[in-house]
Amino acid sequence: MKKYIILLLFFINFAFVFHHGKLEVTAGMEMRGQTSGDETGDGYYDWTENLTSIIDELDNFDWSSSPVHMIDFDDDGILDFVVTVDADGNYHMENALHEVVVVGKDPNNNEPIVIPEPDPSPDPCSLPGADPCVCNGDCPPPPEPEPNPKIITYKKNSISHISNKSLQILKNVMDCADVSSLSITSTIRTPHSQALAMYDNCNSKGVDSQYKLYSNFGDQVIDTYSYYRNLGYGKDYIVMQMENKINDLGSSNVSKHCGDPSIINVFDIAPSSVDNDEAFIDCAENNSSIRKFYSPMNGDPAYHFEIIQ
Amino acid sequence: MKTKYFLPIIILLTMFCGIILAQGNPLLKGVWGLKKGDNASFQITTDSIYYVEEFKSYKYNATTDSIYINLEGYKLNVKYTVTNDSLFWSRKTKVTKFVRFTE
Repeated sequence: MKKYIILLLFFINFAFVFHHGKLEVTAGMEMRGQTSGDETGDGYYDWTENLTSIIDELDNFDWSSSPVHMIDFDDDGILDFVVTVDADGNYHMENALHEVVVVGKDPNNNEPIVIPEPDPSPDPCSLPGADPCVCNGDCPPPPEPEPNPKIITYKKNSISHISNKSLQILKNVMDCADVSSLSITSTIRTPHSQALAMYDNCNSKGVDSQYKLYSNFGDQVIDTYSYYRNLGYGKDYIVMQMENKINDLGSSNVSKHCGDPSIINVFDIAPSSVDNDEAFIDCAENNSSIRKFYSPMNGDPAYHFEIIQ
Repeated sequence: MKTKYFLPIIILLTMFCGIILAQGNPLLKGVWGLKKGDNASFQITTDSIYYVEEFKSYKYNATTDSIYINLEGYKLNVKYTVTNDSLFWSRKTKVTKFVRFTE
């Protein structure tokens, strides 16, 4: 029975050492190496008590004759260790499993010591700048999810004309009105687009009807249409001249949908995309960051925002 | 004889009333804006409202005191009073005054 227990212990210890891949060196300076014998009853020979004599033997070895010294400590005809010496005079003892122990002498008292080999893969947490969250679990609290995530959809190509500042102001209005989603249907209009639309209206509805609709600035653009139309110019040329006139006058004077996006952001939101429309209007009208706001209640078919950048 | 003309007369009266109702107050028609000197906001014609800055027209229905406009899925419903030179829209506590632009 005792024999089986010893065998069981042998396999347990073998598995332990093999698993760790190195000689077991405890705080008590015990050094064990695999041998052919089983002198200690646990499958390993306990070298600790023999460390002094081992180092003495190694010290007395003529290293100039061979850089490698082989030790058969228990004289059983089977090598226990292959030993080399490094530049510091420490001995590297490798057993049959290629496990290595470094031994030397303490410079303070000349006593034999086992020198721990540097860990080839040091604990990342021991390095300077280690992440305290990973190493200590000292993590900052995860960001709170936005209580009411805002969903803003855009008509094609409209997003490039809306700045982060404008988006933040819009989200503030949404927060204020408890609106979770909306749809931006148009942004700033180019002078060319304005000229083209005005040209089409002048052409299809007549200039007299258009003069009724525009301010003095718009009327000057219509004048340009009439002038070049009467001279017999074609559409492209007339639109180009109208566009030039719009630029000369300042496009934002001709239409509230025109302007320089780096100076002012203009965009429209579909009223049908906003759930809480009355609160939305109140919040937009009372937001001092918005230069102008129009709604269907005051003559715009959309929610029209103008925000200075 | 009376029976023969009764039905067409009823039909004609119904159509006439319908047109009147659809148009609301005749004074509604015209060009309206928030402030003279600016671009007009919209032009109301017999059956549609044309928004000047947007280049878009929308159908509307009007009674003698209310206007209904379907703005691409958003139904604007306002009470109104109109005079020769002013149009007031109101909804709950909000009132907007438009001024008539010279025809």
